[in-house]
Amino acid sequence: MKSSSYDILVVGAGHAGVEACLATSRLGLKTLLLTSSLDHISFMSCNPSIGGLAKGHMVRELDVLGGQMALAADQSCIQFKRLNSSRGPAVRGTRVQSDKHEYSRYMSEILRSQENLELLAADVAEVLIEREVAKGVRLRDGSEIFARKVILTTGTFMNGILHLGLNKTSGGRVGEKASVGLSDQLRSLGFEVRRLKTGTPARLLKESIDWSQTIPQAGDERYIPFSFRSPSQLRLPQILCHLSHTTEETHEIIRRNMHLSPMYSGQIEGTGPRYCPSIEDKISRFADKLSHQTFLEPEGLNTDLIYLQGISTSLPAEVQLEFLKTIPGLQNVQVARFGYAVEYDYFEPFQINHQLETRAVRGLYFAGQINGTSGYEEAAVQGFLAGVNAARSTLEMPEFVLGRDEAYIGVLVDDLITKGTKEPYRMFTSRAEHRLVLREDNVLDRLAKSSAEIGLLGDEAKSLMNLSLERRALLRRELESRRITPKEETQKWLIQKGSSPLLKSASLEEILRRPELSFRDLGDWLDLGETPELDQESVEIEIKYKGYVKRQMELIEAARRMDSLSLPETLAFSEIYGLSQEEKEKLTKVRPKTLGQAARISGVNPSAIQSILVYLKGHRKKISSLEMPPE
Amino acid sequence: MYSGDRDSLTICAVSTPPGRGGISVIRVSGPLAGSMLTKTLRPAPFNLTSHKSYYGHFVNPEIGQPVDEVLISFFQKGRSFTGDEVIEISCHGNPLICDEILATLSLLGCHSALPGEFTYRAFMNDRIDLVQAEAVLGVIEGRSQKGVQKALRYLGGELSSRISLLSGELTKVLAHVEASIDFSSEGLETLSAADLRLRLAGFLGEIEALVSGYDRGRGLKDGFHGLFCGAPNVGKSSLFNLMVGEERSIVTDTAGTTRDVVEGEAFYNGSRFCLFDTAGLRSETLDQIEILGQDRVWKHLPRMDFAFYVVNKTAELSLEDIENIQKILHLKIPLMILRNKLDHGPFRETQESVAGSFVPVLQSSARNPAFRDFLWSSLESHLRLANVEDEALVFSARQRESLTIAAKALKEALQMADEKLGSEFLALPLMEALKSLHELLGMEFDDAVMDRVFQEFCLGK
Repeated sequence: MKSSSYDILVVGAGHAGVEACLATSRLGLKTLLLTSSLDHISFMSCNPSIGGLAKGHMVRELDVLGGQMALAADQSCIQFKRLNSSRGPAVRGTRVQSDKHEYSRYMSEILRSQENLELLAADVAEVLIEREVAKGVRLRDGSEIFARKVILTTGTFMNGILHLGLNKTSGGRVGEKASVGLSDQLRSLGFEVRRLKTGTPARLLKESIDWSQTIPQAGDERYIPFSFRSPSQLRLPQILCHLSHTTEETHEIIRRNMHLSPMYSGQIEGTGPRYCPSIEDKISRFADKLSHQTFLEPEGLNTDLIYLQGISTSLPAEVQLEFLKTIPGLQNVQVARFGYAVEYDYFEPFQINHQLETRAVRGLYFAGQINGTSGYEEAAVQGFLAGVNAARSTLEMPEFVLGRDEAYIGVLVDDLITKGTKEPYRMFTSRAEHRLVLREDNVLDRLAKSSAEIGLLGDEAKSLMNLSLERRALLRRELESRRITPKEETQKWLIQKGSSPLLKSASLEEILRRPELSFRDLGDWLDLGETPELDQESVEIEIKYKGYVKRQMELIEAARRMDSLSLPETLAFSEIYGLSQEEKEKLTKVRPKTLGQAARISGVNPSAIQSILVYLKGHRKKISSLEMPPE
Repeated sequence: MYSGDRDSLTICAVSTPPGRGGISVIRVSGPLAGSMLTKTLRPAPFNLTSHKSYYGHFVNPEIGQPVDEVLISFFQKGRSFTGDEVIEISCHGNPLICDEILATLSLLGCHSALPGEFTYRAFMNDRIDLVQAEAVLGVIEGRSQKGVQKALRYLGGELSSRISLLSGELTKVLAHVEASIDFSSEGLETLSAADLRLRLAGFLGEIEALVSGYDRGRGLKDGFHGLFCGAPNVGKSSLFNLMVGEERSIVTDTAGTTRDVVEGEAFYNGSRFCLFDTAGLRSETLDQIEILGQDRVWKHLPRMDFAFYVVNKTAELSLEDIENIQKILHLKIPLMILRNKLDHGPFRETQESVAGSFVPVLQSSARNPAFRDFLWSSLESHLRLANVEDEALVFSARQRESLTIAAKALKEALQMADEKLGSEFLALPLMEALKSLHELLGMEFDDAVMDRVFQEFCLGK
């Protein structure tokens, strides 16, 4: 047994746990990472890819703040795509296919070489709690490890049950045992525990697929690394994915065997994600669709396994095999591992605060699927935030919280603790009311200050960041000051570009604002040199959509006013005159930290906000930073 | 913007107690209050002095039409009841005029005040103490608990179902817009740009039709339409002449003198009334012209805002009378029965059960000029009950505001579509429009759009 006292204990080495322990150890705190299997660090249990819309945004945000995920994704990238790159300028999102083994290997190596961090394979049986403060954990073998903070990132392992057909077995992931006892202990302490369900498709053997019947799908030509710290060149060779589709025969087989699906037999109680339904679900809910597409994605460069995106299922193995063979290209398919569903415990997230610390037990933090989310990216950013806040609390530094107007990460946490979730929560761009401002291209502008506040980036990264910020500033100045005049040559150029001639001289910024012209067209006037793509994009969007972005900023200001009114922690909502019973109950449950958060709770009316203000003013409570509306 | 943040808005409402008074006062509170005065008062004052009143005509600056003769008092910020900059518009105590003034203010950027909101502001700005404010909190409490039912009650069945339908359709379109952003790589069949434009234009048309159709300020511009009907020779024409103040219809003792519809105009309390005298209703006539005249009664009736059914004071209601009254009630037209030919007062109004409904009955005299005022005031109060009950007035102003906001947002979305801006831009005004409709319906705006995305599209990774 190593030393049995640490600053921080992190339970679980998935995407949340890894970011959590890296953050705490890098902030100088002695950290122990506990996981049931050291072979599955940062393991991609489902699809072998990182990012996507809104998710990609979070990965980039995490990168600027000093997280690891973006670097790991770049390191293991075997196909790169920028979604919506030809459409909405404000909603472009990065997604990479990863070599999942390389991803995991890279992260293990990072962990093993990290100072202040120790790893231990062990099963955690319970959290040691004394007078409502977490003190450490007790392992299955009875030994105790003490720490000042405990971060739980248990993924799908808490009371996990795997479903394959009508067979169910205890487990957190195929081949790995579940974590039993932890959620029961916390439930007995009054935590509200619920069930969620998620599923994964079959993994196929590469050689058994007839690729000629599928449509190859290449990644983008142009690579923009996830991390601003990564080299601009790809490290690994790039692969193709392939597209195929289900047939009427596939659907017929599934329909015939629907009674063998644990979802439909009523065996699964947990709620599954609507954005990621099983193939059984798709076929019964969209009966008129005769075919569903599926992407065949390699799990890595040196593996024989193919992930079958879009066909997650928990039907019995023999049914899976039967219907898979009706998909073009899969007539002779061999299955390495069948799809299955997993049901697991999560804690209703209104039980944690913005720092992801539980309200009931101080020093205990939850991050990842334990809070009802789904997705590697959602988990990683929570792990990071929990780690940073656990560390800051240990070091007696002020909390670190991101606003809804600063980052998708802020939206995620605020949504969870204000609205809770009934299905696995995934980030969408539509969840962010300030979508036009929360873009991938401007993460540096948005988060440089927050990053400095956390202090995780090294000098090299900081100078890269400043360089980029300076480049943008320079570009903006150039565009503003450089003018073109209505010379014959200029007019010809404009007409040739499909634009209209000038009436008087104009700055390049004004020219760029014309919808028909883009940054690339300005190349004749402006030496863009080595200016990276994202820097150009950022400045271009700012200029082109100035009016809309400005309006969004005004709304942000208005929202900030509400969010700057903090509510005292001891506020007794039940005493406030003018609140309905429903409002009292909801406010008491969520315990909003600010008036803005209170207004976002569903079922709380604008009049309730006024009642709270009247109460606060009337009772002249001492309220930190409570500003009254202007006289 | 979060709906809770109202403190920077300029709010307005009728602040005199409900019920009929000679004068109504509309209070406007907030940063735009002073500019409301200069924008709507003609002649417009050069500068504003606190605690001073300005006399003139209130006009809707967009169409330049005067609404009423008014006196507007100005109170500067910090020296008013609420603590905000405030104006108080004193106008004639006619609910239709108040309605028109509120609509104009809303057009210029004011928002309808929530019940108790003036007092709320006064308290927050230290103008009154908690004891005074607490009385108002009761109002706020009632609002939060009954708001939804109230909103729906005043919305009326047909209107609310049209708006529900519209908000459902808009949710669906927005679901397409959102799905095209968040699930762009899933090969979904979302609305094409052209279809989207078409749908939005359709919504806009529908909302604009609702606003204009719903505009009960109509009474001010076109007048209320009302009709006299009943059996022959009961005195319809005499009452009609009394109301329009001149001998428009020929009056004789012969039954069936009036054979066509006669039209007259009258003004009362600033509102215009179009009155119609009609042929007597009797089934046993063989006179072709008389039969045609009777047909016209039934053709005119559905377009009326109210109807008088005139009967003889002495006679019992005939079976035919009861049938006719039933038919009119069935058309949902506010109806008053006038028991005519009572030459001397006292005039009084009672409720009588006719054909299973309670109908107001007035003892009336066409020959007594004093009856004229009695009938007018009685009519006005019935129209008010049927149409413009004070509380309904408040709701109607807010409802119109919601519809106007939705229309404005849809226009902006259409313009964005013309400029070929991406879905993420269009989504902003569309969301605003939808929120506004939800507010009107008293619905919580939540995850409706994403719920619709999952219903509408087969997603799945």
